[in-house]
Amino acid sequence: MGVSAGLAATGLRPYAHTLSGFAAARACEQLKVDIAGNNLPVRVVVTHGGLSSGHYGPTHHAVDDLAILRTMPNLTIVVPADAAETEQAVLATADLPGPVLIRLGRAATPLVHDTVPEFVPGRAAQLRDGDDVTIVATGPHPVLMALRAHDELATLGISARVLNMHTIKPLDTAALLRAARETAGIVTVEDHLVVGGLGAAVCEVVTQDAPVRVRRIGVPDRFIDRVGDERDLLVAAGVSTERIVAQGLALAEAQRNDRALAERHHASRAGSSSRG
Amino acid sequence: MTSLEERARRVRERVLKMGTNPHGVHVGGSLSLAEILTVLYGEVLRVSPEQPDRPDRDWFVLSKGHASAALYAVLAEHGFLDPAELDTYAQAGSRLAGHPLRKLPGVEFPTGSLGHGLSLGLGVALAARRTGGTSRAFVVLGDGELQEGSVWEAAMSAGHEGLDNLVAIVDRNRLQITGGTEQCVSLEPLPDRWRSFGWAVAEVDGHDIDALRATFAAVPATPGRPTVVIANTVKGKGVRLFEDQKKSHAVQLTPRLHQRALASLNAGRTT
Repeated sequence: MGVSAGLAATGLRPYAHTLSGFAAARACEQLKVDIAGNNLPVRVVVTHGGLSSGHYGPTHHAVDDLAILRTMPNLTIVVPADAAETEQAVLATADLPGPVLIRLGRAATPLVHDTVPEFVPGRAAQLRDGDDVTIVATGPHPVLMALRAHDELATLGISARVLNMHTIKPLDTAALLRAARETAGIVTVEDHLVVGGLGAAVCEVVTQDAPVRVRRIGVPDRFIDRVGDERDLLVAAGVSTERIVAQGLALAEAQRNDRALAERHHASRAGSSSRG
Repeated sequence: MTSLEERARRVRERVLKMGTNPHGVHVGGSLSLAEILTVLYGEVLRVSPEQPDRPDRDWFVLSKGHASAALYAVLAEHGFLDPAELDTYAQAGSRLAGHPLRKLPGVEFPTGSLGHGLSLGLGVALAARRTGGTSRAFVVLGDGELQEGSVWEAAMSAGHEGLDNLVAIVDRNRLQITGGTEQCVSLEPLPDRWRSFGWAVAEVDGHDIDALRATFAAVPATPGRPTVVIANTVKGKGVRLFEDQKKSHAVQLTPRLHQRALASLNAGRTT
């Protein structure tokens, strides 16, 4: 990382690669001080993000990387959902003036997009329209799970908006505030700890300007010392289509209860004023 | 009593078997360790599966944690693990991850993020000296791993402290994931580098059981100094098609490849 900063300071645009856990944790200070601190155009491309290194064990898992990286001013953080989006993300970030980190997985994952997706750094891609609840996902498995949850919720009469939050920083706050105002609540899904990642970032935005219920789906606050591949580990950690569906239903239900309460409250107020 | 040669052969056989799982195994750097680990566990380390936590034990740290398969095979050989459990290697629900987990009997630290092990051994060795204990720390490092700067911070500190209860063993197979160590970032003159950090250096053929035995019996090589054993090895040793091959770093052994590898291993059988 320090070497990349040196290269970039001379006017070059280096692409540096390592595993995500190593970039965020081991080289944290070099990334913070030397690259982000000097706002240098280094592109750090990391693999093995989240639980994608699966059976390799916790030394290679990177479920805290987004939490660490999000604290670095100037750093653009991108988590593409599939190979097509990765290509677009590399092209779209090539000329950004500051540092960029692109977080990839390890094994191949299915394509999310049938066609070449439009990729604008910092603008969430709305993959499905919907006005009952919003699912905000980042990364290959979470986005795929979100799309499946959308279909299952549709069969249950719930229309779910799906946002692919491929840029974690800068975060698309406008899309999140629209979701907060237009739908019953937000379910976040990530291959990352529930501490400090996408879910936390969404909460930071909506609590300030448009408070709404948020259900965070991610890896619980404990080390994963179980052996398995990425999907096994994610599901065991509670990151699954089923949980997204359950939380989506719960948010819609909570809003119905809120409305019923409000109506009763309104009716009783109307009743008391007519008596008075 | 099984000979150490036969045990080392069995370690290799088990490593190959573990490599048949869908994720494969770090085969090259596991095979290069077979004699080193067999001699350490067979004759050197004061450890026992009955009392894995006894305070006066020696501590073993596999800093090159990706060679976990060799460690698991040796732990099975010495009663820390049921050999049948080796068949679960890297599979869902197993305790045997691609890099060792702390909860496994006989594993002192989870390792796999390279460059951590020597500091851990240094801490253990310092504690033994502070408390007047007899424990020693043995740390196995990969040679590619020596490109991690933290190794040299620990080396400098151990030399300064003169910790002669600390032994580093370098698996000098001259290959790392991306190619030859001397082509990637050269390590030579390696013995001189360790000496200049205050270490006693022993060089040995890492596949010669008698030589390893004699070397480990003689540590500390110099009283008042930590010892590094530079074990010259061959990556993939024992299986012709893997020997000295960069591509043997990590391999998934299909049934056919597994049979070929076993045949090659057994063709070289000396007992």
